[in-house]
Amino acid sequence: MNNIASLNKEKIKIIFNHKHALIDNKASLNKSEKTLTPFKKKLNLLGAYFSKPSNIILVIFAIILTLTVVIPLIYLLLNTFLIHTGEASLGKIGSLTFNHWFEVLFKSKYNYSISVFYKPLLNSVLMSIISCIISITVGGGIAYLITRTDFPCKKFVSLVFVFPYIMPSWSIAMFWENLFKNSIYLEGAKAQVGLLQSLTGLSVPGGLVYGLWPCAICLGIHYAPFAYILIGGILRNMDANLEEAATILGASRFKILRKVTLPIVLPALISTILLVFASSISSYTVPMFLGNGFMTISLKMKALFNSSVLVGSGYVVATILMIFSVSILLINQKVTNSRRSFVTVTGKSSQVSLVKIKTPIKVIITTIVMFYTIFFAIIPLISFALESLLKTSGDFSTFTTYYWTTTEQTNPYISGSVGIFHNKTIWRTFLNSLLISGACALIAGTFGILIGYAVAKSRGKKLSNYVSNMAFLPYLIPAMSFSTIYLAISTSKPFGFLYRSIPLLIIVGAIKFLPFASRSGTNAMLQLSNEIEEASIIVGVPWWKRMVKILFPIQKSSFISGYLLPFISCMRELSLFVLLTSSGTLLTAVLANYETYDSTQISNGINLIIIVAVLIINLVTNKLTGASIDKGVGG
Amino acid sequence: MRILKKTLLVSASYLMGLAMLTGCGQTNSSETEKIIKEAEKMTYAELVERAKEEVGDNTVQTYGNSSQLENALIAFSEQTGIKVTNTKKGDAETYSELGESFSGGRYVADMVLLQDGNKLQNEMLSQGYIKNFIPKDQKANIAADDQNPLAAVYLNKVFMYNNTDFTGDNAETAKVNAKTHYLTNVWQLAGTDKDPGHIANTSFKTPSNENVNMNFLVMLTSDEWVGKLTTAYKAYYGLDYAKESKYQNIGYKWIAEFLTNSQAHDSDGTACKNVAKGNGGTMALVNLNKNKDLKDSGVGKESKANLTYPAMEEGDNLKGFGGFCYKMYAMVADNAKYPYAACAIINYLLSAEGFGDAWGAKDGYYSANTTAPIASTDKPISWWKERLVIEDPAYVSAHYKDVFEFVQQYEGK
Amino acid sequence: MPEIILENVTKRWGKFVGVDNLNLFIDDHSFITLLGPSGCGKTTTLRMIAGLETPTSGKITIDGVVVFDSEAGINISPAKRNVGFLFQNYALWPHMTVYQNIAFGLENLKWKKEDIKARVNELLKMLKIEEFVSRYPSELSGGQQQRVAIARTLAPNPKVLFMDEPLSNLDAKLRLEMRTELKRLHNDTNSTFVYVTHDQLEAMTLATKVCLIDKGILQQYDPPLEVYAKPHNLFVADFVGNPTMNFIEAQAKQIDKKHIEVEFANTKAIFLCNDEITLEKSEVILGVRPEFIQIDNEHGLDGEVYSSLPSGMETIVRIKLNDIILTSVVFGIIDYKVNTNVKINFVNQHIVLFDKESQVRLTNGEIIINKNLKEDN
Repeated sequence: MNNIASLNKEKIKIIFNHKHALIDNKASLNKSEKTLTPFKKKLNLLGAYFSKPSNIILVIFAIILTLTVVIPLIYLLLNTFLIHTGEASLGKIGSLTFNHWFEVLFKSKYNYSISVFYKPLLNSVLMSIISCIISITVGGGIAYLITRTDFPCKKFVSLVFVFPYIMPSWSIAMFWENLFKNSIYLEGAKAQVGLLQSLTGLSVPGGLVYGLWPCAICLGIHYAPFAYILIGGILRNMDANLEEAATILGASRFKILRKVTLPIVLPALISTILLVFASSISSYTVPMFLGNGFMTISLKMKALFNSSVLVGSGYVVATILMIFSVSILLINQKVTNSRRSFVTVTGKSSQVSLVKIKTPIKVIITTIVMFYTIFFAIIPLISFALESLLKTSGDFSTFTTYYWTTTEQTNPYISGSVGIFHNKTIWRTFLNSLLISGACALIAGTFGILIGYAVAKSRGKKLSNYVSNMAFLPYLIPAMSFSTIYLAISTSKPFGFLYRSIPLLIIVGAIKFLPFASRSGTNAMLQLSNEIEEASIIVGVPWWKRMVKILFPIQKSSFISGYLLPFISCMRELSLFVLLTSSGTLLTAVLANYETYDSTQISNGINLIIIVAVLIINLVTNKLTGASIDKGVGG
Repeated sequence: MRILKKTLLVSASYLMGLAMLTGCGQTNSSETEKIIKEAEKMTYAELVERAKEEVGDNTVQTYGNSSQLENALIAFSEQTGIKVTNTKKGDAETYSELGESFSGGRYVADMVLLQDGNKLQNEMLSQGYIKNFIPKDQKANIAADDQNPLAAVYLNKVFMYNNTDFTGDNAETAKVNAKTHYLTNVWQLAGTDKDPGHIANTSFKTPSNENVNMNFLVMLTSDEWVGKLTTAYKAYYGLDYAKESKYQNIGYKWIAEFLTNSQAHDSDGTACKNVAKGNGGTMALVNLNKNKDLKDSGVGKESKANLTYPAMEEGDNLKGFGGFCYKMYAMVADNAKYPYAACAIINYLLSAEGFGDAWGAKDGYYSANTTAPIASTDKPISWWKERLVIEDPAYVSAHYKDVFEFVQQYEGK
Repeated sequence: MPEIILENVTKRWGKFVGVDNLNLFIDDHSFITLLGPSGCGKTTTLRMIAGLETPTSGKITIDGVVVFDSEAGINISPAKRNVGFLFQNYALWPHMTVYQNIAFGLENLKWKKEDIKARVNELLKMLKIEEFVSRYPSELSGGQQQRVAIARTLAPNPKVLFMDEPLSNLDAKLRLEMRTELKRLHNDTNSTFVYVTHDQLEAMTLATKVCLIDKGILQQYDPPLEVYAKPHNLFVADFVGNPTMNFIEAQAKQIDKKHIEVEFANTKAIFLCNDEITLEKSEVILGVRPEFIQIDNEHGLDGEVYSSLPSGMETIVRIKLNDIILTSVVFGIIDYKVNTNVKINFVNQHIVLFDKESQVRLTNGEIIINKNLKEDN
């Protein structure tokens, strides 16, 4: 405060001196300018700095992101050193200790660090690696087929392929379990007849129903659309001449793939790995459904947080997971900034000559792809619909619309659990979910555009890198940790007004899904040449008008995609919000409630409603504005 | 940059301060306690009257783990005209939310219904967040050790198995009640399949995610149960148990082997259903009260007839224990807005009528009020207490950490 | 003999015809340019010969080998046609160094390592890019990249070399330099070059034969100077030559086999044909190259200077002759003032006579002016 006051005084002094000199003698003007004090210089610089809107935005968002992202992280880190209530055996509650770190990393009694940290971590890493491989192979493979070959049914596949991402990851897990569980290879109470067994009599071994591989496969399928979008994006924009030049020089198709296409697609591959790995390793619901004893780091973390005596260990595990994810982020940055810049020289738009696949192979590939797409995109929807229409789940002779239409209570544990069409709770929370997701999307999307604008304009500068990285960080924080931190904040006295409030949900949702919006915003802005904005600056158009009337309309589809993806993610998100709200606010919480009390019909019905709603909104937005999930992920 | 650094530092130190405040004492402690002292002298009718004055047109907030609670609250509201809203969440989430709220001085509930005596003691009672209230009307019918903290209802998790010989094929030819005396000694659930009568894949909710399960395991290491396990061991293997270096006592041994053999799940209700409609010989250790969700429909389907409970079947011949039981405690929040209303509700729940509205006459629910009714197919809680492991909050508290850490090795593969 | 034969080659996309029934015979060791406006089908033709595009129908033979025949179902992949292709935007692989880019083709041919090294060095020297051997394409300027691309294409010594507008991304000065280099390269390597461009100057200066294409149809296929002097039709005449040819519409009346009376812009003149022709229609167009309009201060038709653009070496003058404006080129350091009166003459025997309706060239000849009709009155 003092500084500013004295600065002002200095300012006035200088101006007074200056004017004085002017009045005195024009010739001595030069002399007085030479007496520019460092203060005035700094002021001038500051003034010039803040006259650019992009700089103002950078500073504002640096502050906002620091508050909403960095400080919670510091809180997380801090808690790894604190003694919490319930850990009184370690010392005074509230004081600091290294004990938690030591225990998690080194304690050998009862093989503690192995069973609490190393083994689950290994499991999670293994699962994530496999899911990365699956999603890249499947997603990248289909991207190649669609952009580079004469594969038929391209439109259908590219439309439907994104469905598994829109579905919550646990619905795919649920679907897998319902399909493959059988009474032959499974044991104990889990030996139940599933769809496959009841329809065809075939049963698969237990390792394919629960455990490492089913978890990895379901996650891989859920995230394959990422790979498809990112890799497909590069393939589409890649100069076809690069591959043609290699063809002319005698390279076989396989060699071209290996030596030309793959290296160029590498940045997209690494981005995909980053996204898929970070998401898989912190996935909670999939291993919960399909684990059956397969212990992942996320499950262990939840258990540690549940216990009142090992909460510190839980924080340590969460922090280490964070560090993991952040290192991948840094590796990703390093690779994409290397000197082997992958920006190809652009010339005339070149004609893409599609690889023609020989007919017998073509038939095989087409069948496999169509089967895969329908199986994982369409059939789950059908199965949800079916399950909601069966009186006895699994028994196809008991078709009924009872659970949709009845006005009687269907579940004694849940009040108001009437048929879906009459169920006020469901529709009220559906509306809530739509509104809250809409608000989150609005904030995240708008922030994303602003951040994208500012980052693109000041590319390479330190502050710009900071804001850009901070905006991406929330993606890497597991939803559980994120919500735990915000719960703690919202129950503390100064922020008590946020407790259980809708604004809290909106803030949490907006920040968590900001990464997508800021990525697509930045990409969109980078595609625009500076001249477009400069032409309007020269004519004197103010900044907000430039954004609204020129920049936004041009990159409309990319920007709107920045709204779409947060919306979809919010609609189907549960673990992020479960701690922060009662079970009567969001539709996903209601779904979890019905699921807990075994109301399979209604929970499947709600599942169906969520997915169909999101699909419709996606399609409509696509048709009206050209925005799509593709652009939202940064493809 | 400097501005940023400064902001960071200030916020970090602020948060640090906040974190350290966690666990500080509460305000207004004497007020609620005073009201409770008064309420303990009042009858139900008096309590209701004071409550009506107190609440007026507002709504009383309760937090209850039990899904049946809402039925009782609805009946209470109809009877008295006082509006009540209940929040029901999972065990861990309830404690977490309440803990955070109370420590921040925030009002979220007037009355709470919580299980897990250990957590209740360590996280709520010792901090003074909740206060005990003993209703005058029922005091005489409540056992002394159920009065403080006040237990509203007992629940039990017992062994149950599918008694048909159904193997997943033809339901028509499988007979109901083909298996009998399937479990006679708890050591059948430990060991390996080389042991006679070995039972594998018992469904048991992951202890880390279900506190009452963890408490049960902790209790097995206490002297009483170590004794019973040793006797059962001798009966099963014919040898005395020789102390092993890797287990502190035989309790740990049983825990380790049982967990290795068992199959984890996340929903007791689903497990109960699966056992009922599964293959013959499927075993689970889940809430007895889950059998009320079963719809009678034959072999290979969810039918109560397909379940047998070793504790009931064997009675005293069951070596070891038949399961365990735990309480749900009804307490008044220290920063309650409507403490009289809370007391009224507690009084109602402990009455035979109130209990009947909520949990009455169903398998697996027992009131602390010994005059309240139980299901006709069930046994009274006093009978169960002799055959089940009961949680002792003091013991659990002292040994929780050690057993919890021990158990981590056996959860998951 | 690396000659290329195209027979009835057509490329169709749905209803749109990109290349229409093209017949072309390219001699070995020749330097052919495919010339035409954007979208005329020249790049498509090039790509079809190289194998990067599949014709809808037709037959293509390279060096005696049938590489494509729609009736026989033959379609040899571009990798096996032993051709080289230089792309307009170079298509250098950004993740490989200059050395690796050039060596790629040789590695595919399974050359020995020492041989590859020797050949790469030879090319680096030839194209003067030795100092860039370890750099990545993104670290090179446009001209350097282009030379790397040429080196890469030449490395396996292809018998036929295809080039798709390779100089269009370079600045004017560099373009001129590279033109010379390419012509010399053609001489040194003794291969057949097929070169696509829309720059008529480039086509003219480089080629042994120019192939003009418009809307997928072959317009003319002749050595440059013949295309210049004897354009087959109005399109060719207009396309080639800078400044463009003057087209003067005239009424014609045949006097005898070699004399035609023409009337244009209030002027009557006699057109003396170089060959004997029979005039069918009376509407004709006279094509006069700018250098064939001489400005004289004494004799000739009366005209008025409309504009004058001196460039030092030559001056382009636009002259108003009654109701038409003609473009003339005058060599030398000279300038004209606007609106001054000048006298112009038509010289040289390479004035082209076109039939107006069919746009086809009838013959070349000389314009002999009687007198200005105006003067009569």
